[in-house]
Amino acid sequence: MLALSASDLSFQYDEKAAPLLKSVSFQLQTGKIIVITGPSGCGKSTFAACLAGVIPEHVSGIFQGEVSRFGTCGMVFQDPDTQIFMPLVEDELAFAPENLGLPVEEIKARIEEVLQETGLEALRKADPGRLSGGQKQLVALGAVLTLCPEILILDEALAQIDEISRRRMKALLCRLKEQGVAILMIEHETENMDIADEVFFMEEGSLSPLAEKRDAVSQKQREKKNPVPSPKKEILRVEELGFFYESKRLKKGCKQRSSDTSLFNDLSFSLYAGEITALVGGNGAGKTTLGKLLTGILTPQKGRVLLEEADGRSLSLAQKGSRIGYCFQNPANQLFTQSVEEEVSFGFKYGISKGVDGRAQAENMLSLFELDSLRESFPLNLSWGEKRRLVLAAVLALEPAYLILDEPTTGLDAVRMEVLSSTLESLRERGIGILVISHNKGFVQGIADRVLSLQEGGILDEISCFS
Amino acid sequence: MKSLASLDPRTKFFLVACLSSLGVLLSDLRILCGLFALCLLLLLGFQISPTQLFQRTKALLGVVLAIAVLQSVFTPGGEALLTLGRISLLSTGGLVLSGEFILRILIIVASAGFLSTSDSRELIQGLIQWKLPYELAFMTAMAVRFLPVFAQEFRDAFAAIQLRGIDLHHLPFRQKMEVYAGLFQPVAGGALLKAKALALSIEMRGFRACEKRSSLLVLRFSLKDYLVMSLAAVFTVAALLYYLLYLG
Repeated sequence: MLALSASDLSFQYDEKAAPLLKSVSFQLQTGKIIVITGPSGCGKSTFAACLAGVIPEHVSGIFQGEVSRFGTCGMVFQDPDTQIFMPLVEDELAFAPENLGLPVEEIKARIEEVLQETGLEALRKADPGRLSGGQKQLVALGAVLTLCPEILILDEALAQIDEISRRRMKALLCRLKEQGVAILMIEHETENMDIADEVFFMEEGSLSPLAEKRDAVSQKQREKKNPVPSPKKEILRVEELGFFYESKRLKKGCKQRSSDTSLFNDLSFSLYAGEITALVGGNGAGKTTLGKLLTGILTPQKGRVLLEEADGRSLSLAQKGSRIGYCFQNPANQLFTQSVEEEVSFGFKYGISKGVDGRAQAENMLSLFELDSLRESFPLNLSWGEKRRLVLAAVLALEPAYLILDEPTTGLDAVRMEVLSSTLESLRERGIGILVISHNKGFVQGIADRVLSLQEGGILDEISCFS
Repeated sequence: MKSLASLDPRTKFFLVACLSSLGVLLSDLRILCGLFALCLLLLLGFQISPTQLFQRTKALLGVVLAIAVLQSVFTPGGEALLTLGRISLLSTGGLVLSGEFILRILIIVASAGFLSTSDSRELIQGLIQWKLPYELAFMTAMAVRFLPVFAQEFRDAFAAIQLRGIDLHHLPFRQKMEVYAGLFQPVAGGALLKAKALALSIEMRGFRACEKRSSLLVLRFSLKDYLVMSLAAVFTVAALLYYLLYLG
């Protein structure tokens, strides 16, 4: 039975803009999972928004064609930060059924079911705003699942979720499919495509079925280049690091969080030049926090971080920033100029690299990350993948001695991921050390020389990449 | 006293309304001092640290102090304490007025602190059960909820700038202004885009889809709430009558 259809769908944001969708026709049957993949910025999210009715109802532009939905439609967007706003996870999940005016017993039953399905039971009373990126994504997904939609549209909704939760979510999607839910997934990660009945490829505003699903699923595993062995030069050293988040509550005499919520206690390790280290671990283990402690955005309550033998506490953020390049988990949080070109050359204009003619370097980066055609665009208007590439270009243009990348592959298509891998390998060959925080197993296996696994409670283990 | 934090949010709203109204309506330094002392006691009853509360609002309190000084200078009265020629720079009347102004603000800040013991969902529900349209209640709560989020975004943007090797503290003034001015549009634009995306997300979750909305959380007054509200009402009326009859 037909759940969703689009015929001759065309869309462009305004008359001057190039059309993002060109006469696209598409059908989704009940009890099917369809994946749409394609290069970042090709119009996949726009297409999903058209199918969900967000366009043209809430977003203006030139819309042609027809979209029909035969059932309630729920959509999970790419950025979890713009989907959660309630004080507790439980409230977030209750929001949709409350809007439908359902009886309280029914709301409670739906919440219990979704908490169990998503593995969020332990976080039901947590503030969603303070969760990790992956946990937020699970909450955003759960908040739509309590709507019990007959059509479910997921725009890269599994991108930041850890391996265990991802497997759980894929099993859940399969169960929903068996119950007759029609599911459309916008995806870059081939690991998530194995549950699809059909995979479509979008390019230049057109949609075409992928001849063989296996072509997308079993993409050739890239051959890992082994680094040339050389004496290890230590860049960052962490000594007995301890950290916990302070409570925001204005309670008398309870400024500190209880010890059971300490993220790290006595964490020690070193990071070296010319080596790619991957930091893996479950959602909420503290990987992003550790990245922020290494760069100096956060200050540890205990222990210290040494940057090239200098105590991090004696260096300003700008001094650390000139040596360590850092890409945030959400690229939108570190874009602050009015054009792509300005973003890439910003550090040369005002920074410690001021005076250095960075034009050539900026041009190289714009070209390497295929941003030439977007140089006049407002950075925050770009797609997630384009923002990710822009941040990488801006950070790499400054040639840092060490690079920390937090989930660098989210929003990147297979081709761009390959470009990123090659770029990181060439940086390693030039002696630059790199820490990659990632859930993308394929990517980590392809490039990492060393894998550190961070577990809850702040335990850090070195594990074999391929075990 | 220990369990004041567990009061119904509507009772907390009522307390805030009573104390703030008294703070605004009564113009007597002694009464305002008494009211402020009462607020401090209540803060402790709510298990809120007054020091922490006032530390968090120190930026606002700085502005208040500056206004109080100006008020003292521009509204002289009573005995002149400091003069410049024929101009009175500091007078007893001016000091009293600025003292009253500071106390009023402190009373409002302290009483508003009571609300911090309820989360935004409870506050929204309180307003909804007081028959405020739920769309309005949610919009207000979301605006309040997103203030710290936007503040965090500003902090992220500043951290990101510094991580590009730019030391904002040591930039020449002109360049520093250039960077700050340049930041405004992207940060404001980003905030608007985020607000728009959030609005889309809540619409997609059925917001305003049905005329009647149900709620998992239903607030109910307890005996303690009735008692606190009655005491607050009696105290407010008594304080107003006393002021009007003997001091006004």
